[in-house]
Amino acid sequence: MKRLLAVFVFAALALCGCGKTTHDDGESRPRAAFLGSAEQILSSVIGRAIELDADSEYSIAEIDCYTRAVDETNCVEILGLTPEEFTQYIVEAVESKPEDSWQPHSVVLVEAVEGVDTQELAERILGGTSPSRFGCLRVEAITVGCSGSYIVLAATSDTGCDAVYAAFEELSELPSARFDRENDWSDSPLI
Amino acid sequence: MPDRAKSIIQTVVFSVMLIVLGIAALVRTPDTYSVEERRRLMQAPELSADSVMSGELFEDTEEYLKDQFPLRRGFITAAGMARLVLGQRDSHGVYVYDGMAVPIGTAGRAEAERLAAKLNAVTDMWFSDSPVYIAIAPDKACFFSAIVPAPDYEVICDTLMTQTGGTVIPLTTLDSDDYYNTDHHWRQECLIPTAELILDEMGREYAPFDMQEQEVGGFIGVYGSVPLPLKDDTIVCLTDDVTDSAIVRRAIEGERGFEAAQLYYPENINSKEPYDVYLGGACTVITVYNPLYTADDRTLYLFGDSYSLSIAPLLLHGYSQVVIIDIRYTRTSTLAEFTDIREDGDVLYLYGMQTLDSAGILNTD
Repeated sequence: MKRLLAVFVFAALALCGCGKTTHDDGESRPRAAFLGSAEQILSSVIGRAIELDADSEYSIAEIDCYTRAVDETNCVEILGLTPEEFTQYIVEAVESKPEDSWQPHSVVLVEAVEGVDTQELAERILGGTSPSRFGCLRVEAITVGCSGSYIVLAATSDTGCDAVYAAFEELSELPSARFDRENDWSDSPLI
Repeated sequence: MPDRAKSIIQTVVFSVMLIVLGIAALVRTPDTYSVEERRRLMQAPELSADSVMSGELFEDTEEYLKDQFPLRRGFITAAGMARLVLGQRDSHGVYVYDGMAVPIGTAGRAEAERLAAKLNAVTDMWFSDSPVYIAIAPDKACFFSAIVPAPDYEVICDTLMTQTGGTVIPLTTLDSDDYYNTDHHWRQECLIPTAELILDEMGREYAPFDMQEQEVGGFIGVYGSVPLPLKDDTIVCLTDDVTDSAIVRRAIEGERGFEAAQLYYPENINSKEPYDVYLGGACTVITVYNPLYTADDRTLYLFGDSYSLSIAPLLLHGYSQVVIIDIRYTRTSTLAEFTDIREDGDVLYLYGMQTLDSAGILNTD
């Protein structure tokens, strides 16, 4: 019986090691969902999302965007986090948004600090991002995806959100999860 | 009534509702847009092998049925009305007081500090040697602070005063009647005393206002598209020689170039954003020239949101040029690509409290 247990324990330990890669320094670390800077990852995700959304009636391919850092001065509106929380939870975050346009559209890539529960953080961002950050105009959908220590936040058209998450999922080396916000950003007092 | 009869009636009514609503959902022409929610509604998904295998068809169908459910608007309205009838004082943060929708407000010192930091960044980048003025349009709730949660306007003005190098102009001329019943915006036809206050504080010369009211049409604001007990609204444009002779140019969306434009767009009364009657609505930069102003050739750089668009034609009476800049939609660092930045210009930051509440959206690079 003891031998059988030892075999099971050994097998379990061996299986645990399967999900990790050994680096040159000999240290064992979890695989990363993405490689590169947040800006590079965001660029890849958006590039692929544009391909996926190309045939849509309101394709995100038609929106000229620039990339800017999310920081302590704008994290409240974009991520729904206080500056203190931003510093505590986020390594880096970048946003792609329209240049010289009032089209409601934003895609944000967030790298969370190691050890942070990214799924919980993603859901906080989903509920906290300000739908009124586009002035009088409103987005159609708000979606987050998380994978490893990365989170993508898309606030744009329905098809745009689908395309951004699909690209994020496709490009990630790790399994990802998606969460959608129920439309609670109407100005109407009855909805 | 015997139990058996009750059961039969319940079953028949329930079945008829299921069948009738089900058939209605299938045969009705889908709506394309929800005015209340300001969004396009889901249309019928396409049937394909891929969409079936991926499960997308079923997810999309669920969304479609939620959006296109027969009598959806009626059910939603009934739910909202029931809340009010049952004694809830607000519906989703909006109070109804004497026929006027009054959204609650919570902005205070923290929001004012964040806005001050943003305005300081703009001033430091382009206008460090120019006179700077700041005016915040109070929320309607400020006039009902005894009965609804309201921003503390005095604290906001004090904070902006101490945290910026600018002159804060409290808009003490305003009253709740100066706002629409069904919307949060202020009414242009009530803004002459406010424009006079601002121009006086900025030391500008201007001829006494003698403007005509041109009624554009009925206006249903963001709170008025459902049958709350609200009074009607009308959009009015003020006109005179100055507005008639103004030369207006709007930046083209996505470009740094301009196109000829006008002060008022009456046709926008029928658009999704009727307040876009004033200067055509959202835009990065709009320049308005006043060829009738001869006292000097000073420019006003007016940083603002939709509130600034309706008061700009009035402020034009004290300047030879007003440049309206919306840094929610363009980066502050690119301003020089849109307009000459003159050191002898005046700067006015004029925002509604919705923008004050989300100052992080101002792009100060």
